[in-house]
Amino acid sequence: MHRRGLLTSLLAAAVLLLPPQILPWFTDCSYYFYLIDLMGIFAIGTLGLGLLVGFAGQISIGHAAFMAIGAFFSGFTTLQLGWPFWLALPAAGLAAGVSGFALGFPALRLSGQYLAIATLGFGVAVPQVLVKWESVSGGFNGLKPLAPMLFGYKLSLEEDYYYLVLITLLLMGWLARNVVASRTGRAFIALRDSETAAQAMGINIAHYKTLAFAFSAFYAGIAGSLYAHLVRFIGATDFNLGMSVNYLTALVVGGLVSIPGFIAGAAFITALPHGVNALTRGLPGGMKAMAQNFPQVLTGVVLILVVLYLPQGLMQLWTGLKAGWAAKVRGRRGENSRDTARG
Amino acid sequence: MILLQQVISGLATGCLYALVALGLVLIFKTTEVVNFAQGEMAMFCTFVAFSLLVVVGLPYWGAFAGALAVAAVLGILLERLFIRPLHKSSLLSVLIMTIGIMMVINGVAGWIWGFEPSNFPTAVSGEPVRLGQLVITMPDVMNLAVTCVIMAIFYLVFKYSMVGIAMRAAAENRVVCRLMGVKVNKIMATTWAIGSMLGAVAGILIAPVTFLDLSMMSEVIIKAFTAAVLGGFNSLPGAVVGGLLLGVMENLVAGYISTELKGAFAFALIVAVLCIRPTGLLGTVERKKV
Repeated sequence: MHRRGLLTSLLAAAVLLLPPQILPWFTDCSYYFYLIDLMGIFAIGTLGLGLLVGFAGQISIGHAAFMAIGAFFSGFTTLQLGWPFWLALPAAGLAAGVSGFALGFPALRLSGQYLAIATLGFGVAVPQVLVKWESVSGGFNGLKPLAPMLFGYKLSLEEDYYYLVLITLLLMGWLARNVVASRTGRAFIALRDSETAAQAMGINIAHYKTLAFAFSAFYAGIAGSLYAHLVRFIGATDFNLGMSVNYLTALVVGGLVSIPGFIAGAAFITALPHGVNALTRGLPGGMKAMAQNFPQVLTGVVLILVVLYLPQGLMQLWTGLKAGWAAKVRGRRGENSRDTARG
Repeated sequence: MILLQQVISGLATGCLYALVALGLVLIFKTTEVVNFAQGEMAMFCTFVAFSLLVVVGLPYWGAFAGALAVAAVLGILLERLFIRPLHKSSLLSVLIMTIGIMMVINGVAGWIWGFEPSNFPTAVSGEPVRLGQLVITMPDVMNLAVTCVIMAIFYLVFKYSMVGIAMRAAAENRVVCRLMGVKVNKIMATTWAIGSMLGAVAGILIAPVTFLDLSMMSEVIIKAFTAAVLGGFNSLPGAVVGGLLLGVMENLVAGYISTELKGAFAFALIVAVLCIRPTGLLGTVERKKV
């Protein structure tokens, strides 16, 4: 079983690493790769949010703020201080992580709804402060970070950037899986299930809560840095509450506690507006105005439906189908064996 | 004198925060739901009032009453369809539900009324009131008056009426309340109706200042949350005190420091209050069992 799992992942890695140009129907692939890159980046952010919300049980509804910190840290250091991207990327993660650690302290005394409100305030305040802090963020004009250089080769094509995103995502996913399976992950889960009980078992609540915030902010910071150098134009107001809600949606759709689910959720929420766009492109003007906020309504509807009917996220549909199919197969096999016995 | 002027206009704004915060706290206290959709519900009802005024041609107070009726129905429907099925779910599920409702209401309002901001009339116009050197505009007087009337009604209802006492009982202990013969579900629906109506009143009073627009409540709702945290999230008088205090403080910050940091100020205030006194000014501690 274990060997099969390894084989599957190796195979998947090989497929993912194939140069995309071998696919003949990808004539104009840069748009699709832009989308895939975005999916990967949001998946990294969602992994972090999943550690915080899904595993440690701490609510954050201002998560885009950490992404903003990572993006502007990376943009500022590469443009103004001349840092190479390869230094700015981990540093942006660390910078966001430190701010997450700092936010974790007031969060220590808060739980549930209070934490939600505090993080909401944080999510609103960070873009406002960044817009005002013109020497770092460029104010309303934003920043235009450059594409990263790798041994003299510029990763400006979306297809090339894909490898960077993919490798980072795999690394971060591996890290997240190890964290979840470790002592820290178990402490997170204990914290989520009952703070009082966790404390009674000797878990240092202050330590693990701040750690969860720092971890998830680190992920968001990395995502922010990758985002900045992919889009190559960042404004502080891009990282608004809408983006934070998108993160939450990715998490909820992905089922809160499943690492593949987080990635699938991020892919879903990234593809949604583009998909709607593609479907409504040919519509007449009046309908187009309606289509403008259709992704938003759809996101809301998905959130409502998932909360009401699919507490384990959209993945539940899949596992449900699989279980149903397995039962059917088992049923048929049962009949067969009875037949053979009779024969 | 300038200081006093600032304080008074701060109070007038604070009244609006207090109304929205009161709705939030009322709903939270009785049904244990932090309603992130409160602002969008208010926005929706304000648009209804606008339609009644402009399209149907009702007089101002007729439209006001109509919008309140719609608000009540909206509140009851949302509670019945989306919140009540979640009465055993985790806090996170309920929170995400209200965020989902928020997005849907916002989108649907865009479909019905379009994306262009429009002007909303004020209830009263005329010469500002002068008290010595102080100048108070008529809309500000109106805000203060409406809020005072609502507070008085609230006080009387909660103190003396059966519904008010039942609401307080449901907030205290739902099971015992039910054993005492109170129809708890009805109380929940009533709470949502009243919370929604409070938001609608605030929305109609705010609209002349901010323009009638899909995002008109997005700032106000953050302020209302701040007010509720400041006053104590489980205290009705706290919501009012918090709203008024926030309005005044914010006006002083805008007047003496910077107008653009209002939002950041609200966040700093939330963090400061939560660090120093997490229960807020008038809130009480809730204890949890394992």
